[in-house]
Amino acid sequence: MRLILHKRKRGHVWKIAAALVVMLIIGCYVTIEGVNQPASVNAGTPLTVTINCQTFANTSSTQAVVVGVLVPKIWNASTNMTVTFTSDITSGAQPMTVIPTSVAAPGANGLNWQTDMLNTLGHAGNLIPEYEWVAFQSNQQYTIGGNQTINEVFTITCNVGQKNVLFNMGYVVAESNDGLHSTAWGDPNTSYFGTYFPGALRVYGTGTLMDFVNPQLSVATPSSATDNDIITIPFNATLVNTGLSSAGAVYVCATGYLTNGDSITVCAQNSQSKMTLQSAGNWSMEMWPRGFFKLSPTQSLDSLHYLFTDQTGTIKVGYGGKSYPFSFDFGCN
Amino acid sequence: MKRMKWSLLLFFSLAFLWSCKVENNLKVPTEPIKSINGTWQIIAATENGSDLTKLYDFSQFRITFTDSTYTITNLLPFMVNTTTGKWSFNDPQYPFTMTLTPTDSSSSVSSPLQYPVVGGVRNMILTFSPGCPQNSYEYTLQLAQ
Repeated sequence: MRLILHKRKRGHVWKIAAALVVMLIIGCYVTIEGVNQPASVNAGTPLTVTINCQTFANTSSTQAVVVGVLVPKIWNASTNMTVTFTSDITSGAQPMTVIPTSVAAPGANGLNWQTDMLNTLGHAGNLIPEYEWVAFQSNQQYTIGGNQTINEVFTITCNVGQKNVLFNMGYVVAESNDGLHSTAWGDPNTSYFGTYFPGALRVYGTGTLMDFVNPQLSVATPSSATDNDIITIPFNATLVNTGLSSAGAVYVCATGYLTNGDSITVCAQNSQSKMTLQSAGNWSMEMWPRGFFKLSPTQSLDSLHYLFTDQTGTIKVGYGGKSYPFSFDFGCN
Repeated sequence: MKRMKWSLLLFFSLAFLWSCKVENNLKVPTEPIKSINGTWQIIAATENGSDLTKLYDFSQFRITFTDSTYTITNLLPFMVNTTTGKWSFNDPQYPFTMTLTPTDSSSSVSSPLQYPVVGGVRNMILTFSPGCPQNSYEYTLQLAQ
């Protein structure tokens, strides 16, 4: 008799556990209906974007809302961006907070939300690897009733800095239970989050345009660097027809402009200035400017101008495939 | 007679148990102080998570530690910009931070430190930003042969 009771109790335990498991895998289906993003914004003016979103839950469930935005790193968006939302089931603007990089996304094998978004959703075709996903989560969790559809409007505001930028934006809305990988109820993982890639945003600012959208002959990275960083100087020799399109070896010819107004030119074709062929027509060189220009401890660089040459140094290719040099301003903003 | 047998049995049992004593010879091992004396070289380097090891020549960099001083030859982007100074750990037994103080400066620079043994070889992993604070470098060092 006791055994039977135990079995009955065990049966209840399993039923409760199974119910809990089902509750955990209940899905919220998320769809982005539209994104209102301006085509351009002036530097110093806050960028404001709204996302219209719909969430449906097949059974009552409770979760936090997650929003990700693909942005250029130079915006420092984790500090300069705010996200709030309104919805059918809340009153007033609901605050959201940046998800720390130490927080693992659900079902992402330990990856944080930011890396999981990049790996899963990509980088919207931006060509310069100076982008990042910033992830926000609602400060509290919300319960959605069974078979209930709610409408949400997210408002994103960001200080876009002072630099000239052309960038393909990207947005994702998800929730904290399912993340980007749930396939519960036999649905594909894309049912559990919504994405929207509205296209390029132009920031009219100062300095050389940081064009993430159109292929460039050369954009040095990281875009924010001092002369004591190692910068990567790439060269796409076949993007336009230049004298180096079929060169067997390419060298960097550079002039460093010092903060005191002096300049140093290093234009010898040797092992220090030789670029490495990464793939057909794509060359690159890692440069530590302090070492490249042999600066003394008291010297520092303000900017860098560079051209690409062949082994003889007679063919020189600069900005736009012409003879005017590419430029790079040192600074951390 | 029977009672006497039980009394004797009880007596000898107590005497047997009483003869046991706790040996206090189990000592907690003491973690040795970590010594990094010697000349170290860079075997791996990343910038903002991207592997630079094969893209830039780190092979000539050397940093030599004595009990309290360091000397750098063939300087690269590093925690400090000068070649001599003093070093210290936050804890000599359980170090998680290394601090370098250049000879010509009163200000010091600290770096998170990892000190794992990989493949039987002691590694020292330092993370720092020599230029812009948003650019993070991680060097893995091993004792030079």
